[in-house]
Order: sequence, then structure tokens, then C-alpha cells
Amino acid sequence: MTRRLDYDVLIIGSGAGGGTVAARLSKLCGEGVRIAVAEAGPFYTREDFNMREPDMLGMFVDRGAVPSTSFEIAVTAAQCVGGSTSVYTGVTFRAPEGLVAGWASDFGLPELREDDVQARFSRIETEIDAHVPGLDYENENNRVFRRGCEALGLPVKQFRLNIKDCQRCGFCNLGCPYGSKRGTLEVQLPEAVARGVELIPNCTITRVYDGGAEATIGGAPPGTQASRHAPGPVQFRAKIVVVAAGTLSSSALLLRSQLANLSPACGKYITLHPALTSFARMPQPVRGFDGFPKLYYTDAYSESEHYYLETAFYFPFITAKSLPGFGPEPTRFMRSYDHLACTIALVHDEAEEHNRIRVKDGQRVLEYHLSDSSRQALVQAQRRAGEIYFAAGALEYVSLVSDRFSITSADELASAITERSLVPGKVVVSSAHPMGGCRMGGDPRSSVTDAFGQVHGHPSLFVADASLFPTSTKVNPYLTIMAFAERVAERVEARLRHF
Amino acid sequence: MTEPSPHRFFTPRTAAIFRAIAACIVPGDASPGGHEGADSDAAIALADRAIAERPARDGRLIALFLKVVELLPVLRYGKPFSRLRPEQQRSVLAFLESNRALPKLRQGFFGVKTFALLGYYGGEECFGALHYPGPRRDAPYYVLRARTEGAKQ
Repeated sequence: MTRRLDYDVLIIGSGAGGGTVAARLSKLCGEGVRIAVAEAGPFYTREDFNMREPDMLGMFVDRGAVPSTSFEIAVTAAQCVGGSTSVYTGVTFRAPEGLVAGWASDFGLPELREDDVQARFSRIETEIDAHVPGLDYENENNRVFRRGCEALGLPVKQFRLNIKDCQRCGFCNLGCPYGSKRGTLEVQLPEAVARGVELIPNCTITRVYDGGAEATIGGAPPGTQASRHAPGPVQFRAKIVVVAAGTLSSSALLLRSQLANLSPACGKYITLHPALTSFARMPQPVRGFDGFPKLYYTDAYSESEHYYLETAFYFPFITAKSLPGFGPEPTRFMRSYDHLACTIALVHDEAEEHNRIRVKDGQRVLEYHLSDSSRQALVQAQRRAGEIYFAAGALEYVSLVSDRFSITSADELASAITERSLVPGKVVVSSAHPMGGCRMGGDPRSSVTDAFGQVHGHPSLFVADASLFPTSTKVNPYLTIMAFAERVAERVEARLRHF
Repeated sequence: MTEPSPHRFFTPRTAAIFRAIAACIVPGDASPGGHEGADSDAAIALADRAIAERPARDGRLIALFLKVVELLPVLRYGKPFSRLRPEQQRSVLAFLESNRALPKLRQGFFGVKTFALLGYYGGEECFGALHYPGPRRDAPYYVLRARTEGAKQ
């Protein structure tokens, strides 16, 4: 039997968007406003993170990655309490200056002001302890990257990280076992819950409508926290519904709900920030698993070749999955796991209408094709990363986009790494920063929401996650998501006053 | 009477095919003191669990692909995959991975390779060979469990 649960505000998703909306609205709980956060994924606390790759797959959509229909790219998206902020490395970027002003002018959003968003960045950074850590955080993996860049005369920049009392165990991407990563799991959600917001994990929303949503609450998987609700179908009644389920899920939910007058732009203009990892075997121990995994990046090629190169570190399975081929060569290479240095290239992709999420037979389908520009950028980035590593003294360099398993000198890079090796299904590009699908805009024919995330034509339905972005932020997006979620929360609060 | 399958996803037949493929993905080291490969029982069990926990659609595709891999070599070698010599098996897999005409075969191979790698590199048995210490035991997860175990004793 379907149970009915009544709230004033139902927030769908608990990541950078949903968690921020919950925290900002939680001050209203003291006035008797009832707020719930429905999270489709399980609830792992810091004490549940065991740092084992197979177990922690439960933090991700489909317990792994979601491939595009073309199999050119697969998106790894969190689905757990805290969302992407539970599995990111804490890399904190503001949206590049001018981006928000460009959205305002290009998409008919006069209510969107650059200075308003920039001011929010400063405030949120303070709240979540974002700062540039000291150089004592530099482990050998980061040192190799810095030295290689310096040898080539490339600028090396340090990330701001939102961490506190970090134990430098390196397991950020599998959930921080020490609670040092200041994402919504550790900052915004505890604040919201303490003030009276109810958190409902394992709650999958199947349909939203004006005034509520339909859902199914599942049981808590082993090793995770349960909610007070028994499993079963649920009907939520809420004055306002905020969809913050992430790019892969928010537009799919709106499409599945068959809302009246939903914009034809819904699900379209997805950007994925395509990424490829590459590895170098160094003569000295690197032990990327000791210390903080991500400290530096270079934007030397951002304008000219359209990507960033960032330091990275991955656990054995993800590392092995990121190597080309099979058999003795990658097995031999993995035996040097403690000598491997790692970098990731993140490509600035354009928002194109044909890159979209659609719903077929009730299921989400991701259609995305790498543009010629993105393909060229991925290939060039792999060559540049190789140059950096050979300048730092690498013994060999391994890239997925190569006609051979191992490259042993910088002279080979141009001939070995070519676009011909970028074969869909053989090389599956990764993505961890999906954006778009419910883009803001002034015209309901070409956009899904207004500048405050309200779905056009639906005054009680809002979106508050990266799916709002009309184009890619070109950088790790969580801080920008939080800033826009704050704006949504303020509009929701104002709207509540009218009820 | 046949023994019940120890697996959640694999049938005895698909487990045998997967095991033969996994042995090519991460070969074991037969020398004295050498390491097991991705065809070890522990690796197969971990891969089985991971596939079983994926959406059912993925499991159906993996099962179908395994059957295709088993039968495809009959056209060229006159034998199913699991009865080929190791170098013939590697040749078949290299074709599946790199052919440019049949994207579904590339996708299928990518999926099976991924689960073979997860089975092997996701398990702690391989950590010694990688010189990787694994999870830190001073993390709250392990400290709390050690405390609980201590209290039981």
C-alpha cells in the first residue's frame, strides 16, 4: 500500500545542489516548515567507508559508470548521501570570470549577475574550508608532475581544496574515511538535519508533478545507514519540489514525469568534460597512495588546445581499467604500481543540442558523441602529458590512445599517439563532471528553467544542480553548483511565503 | 545430481568461459612463488558479485557476449573458445577488442575485461604483487570493527 508523506519542501538529491538547498532552507524548520531530502543512493557515513573498491561501487549510479549509446564515453556519477561531494577529491574551482555574465547575456537571463555569483563563491569557500594547502602536502606523484612542468617551462598551479584535518590517506574518491573532506556529507547535511530537515536515503523518485512526487523507498544495503521509513511505495505531497538529482538523473526525471509544457530543450545540451588518464613509470618509488592525490594542474593549454592537465591517483582496479590492451604487458606494468605517476586530461567540450539524455521505455539513455575538437584535444593532451613525464625522467609512458602499449621516449609521442587509436568501445573516455540538460534561459522553447531554477510554467517545481548550466563551466563544477543552489533556495523561500 | 552453482550470476557454463577469458586478461605467473591471475576462484567470485549487482540488462548482455565468444572461434578454428590453445584465445580476444567493423563486440569485450580486472585488482590477494598496502587500518571503519571484535572476545 502506498503511504503518503507530507512536507512543505521536498528536495530530490543530497549532493552539492540538494545538500546546499537543504542547509539554506533549514533555518525555516524553526518556523514549522517541514523539509525532506530524498536521496536515491545509500547513506554511508565516514565510519562506513572501508576503502575497498568493490564495496564502494555502491556509491555510484549503476554501481559503476553509465556509458553513452555510442560507447565513446562513460559517466561516473555518485549516487549516495552527499552525491558527488562524497567521491570527489575536494578540488575547488570558481567558474571562470565572465562565464556567468556570458550566460546572462547569451541566454536571456538579466536576473543573473556575475558579481552576485562571485560573492557567493567567497562565502561558500569559507563555509567549507576551501584553501590552498601547504607544500607539505606534495607527495612524489605531485612532485613528478611539478618537476616535469617546470622543466618544460609550463605554469604549475595549485588547487584549492576543501579539506580539514586531512590524514592524506589518498582514498578521497572512495569516500573520506576520516570526515576531512568538507562536502555536503560533512557540512551542509549535518547542519540541515540538526535543524530538523529529514534525510531519506534509498528513496528513488519515479515521477514529479506540481504538488508532489511518487517514489519507492528501498532497504539499506549492507554496511550503510537505514532511514526510519520501511521499504515500499510512497507518495510525497509537497508545496515545492526541488530536483537536484544530478545531470544524469534530473532531466530524465522531468522527461519521465511527462510534465505539461515541458521545454523541448529538456535533456539536451549535455556537456561531460571528457577525461582521459595516462601513466608514467618512474625509476623512483612514487607511491601515489601515500599522501594527498591531487595538488597541481596546468592550464598552459587551456586556451590553445582546450584542456587542463591535472595530477591524479587511482586505486588498482581503476588504474588497470585505464590501461590499453590485456595480457602480459599491462600485467607487467601493474606490477610497478608503486612506481606509477598519473595525470588526467579534462577537455572543455561545447554544449551541443544532439548530446542529450532521453527516456526510452522508462529508462535513461545517454546520447553523446565526442566532437572532432574534443577528440583532437584528448589526443593532444595525451602527448603533452607524455612530454611532462619524460621531462621528469619517466622510464615509460602508457596512454590509451596509442598504437603501442608503452612509449619509451618523448620522440615517439607524436607518431604513437594519434586519433586513429581513439576507437569507441576500445577506448572509453571517462567523465565525472556532467552538466546541462535543464539549462537556464529566458526562452521556454530553448531552456528548461529561469535564472532561479524554476521550471518554466511550473511555479512550484525547481532544479538545483549542474543540469542548470547552459554550457560547461570548463572546471570542476561543484562550487558553482552550490552557488546556484543558494539562489534556488532563496527563491524557494520567497515562494513559500506566498503559500 | 549436479552441485549448486557457487555464483549469483554465472552458470557453470558461463563461469568456465569467463574464467578462460580472465586468464588471458591477467595471466597468472606459473613460476615458483608466482602470483595467481584473474582466473583464480577469488577473482571469479568478486567479478560474479559485481555483475550480479549491476542492472539486470548489463547481466543479460554479458551472458550473451560470453556465449558469442565461446562459439565465434568455431568459424575459424573449428573449436569453441574454451578449447583453444592460449595463443589462439589471445588472438580471438585481440580481434574482439580491436575490430573496427563490429562495435558491439568491442563493447562486449570492454565489459568483460572490466569485470575480469575488477575481480582481480579489486581483491586484496593481488596487493602484494603490486607493492600496495591497501586500506589503512587506522581508519574508523577498521578501528570500530576491531573494537567490536575485541568486545566479543
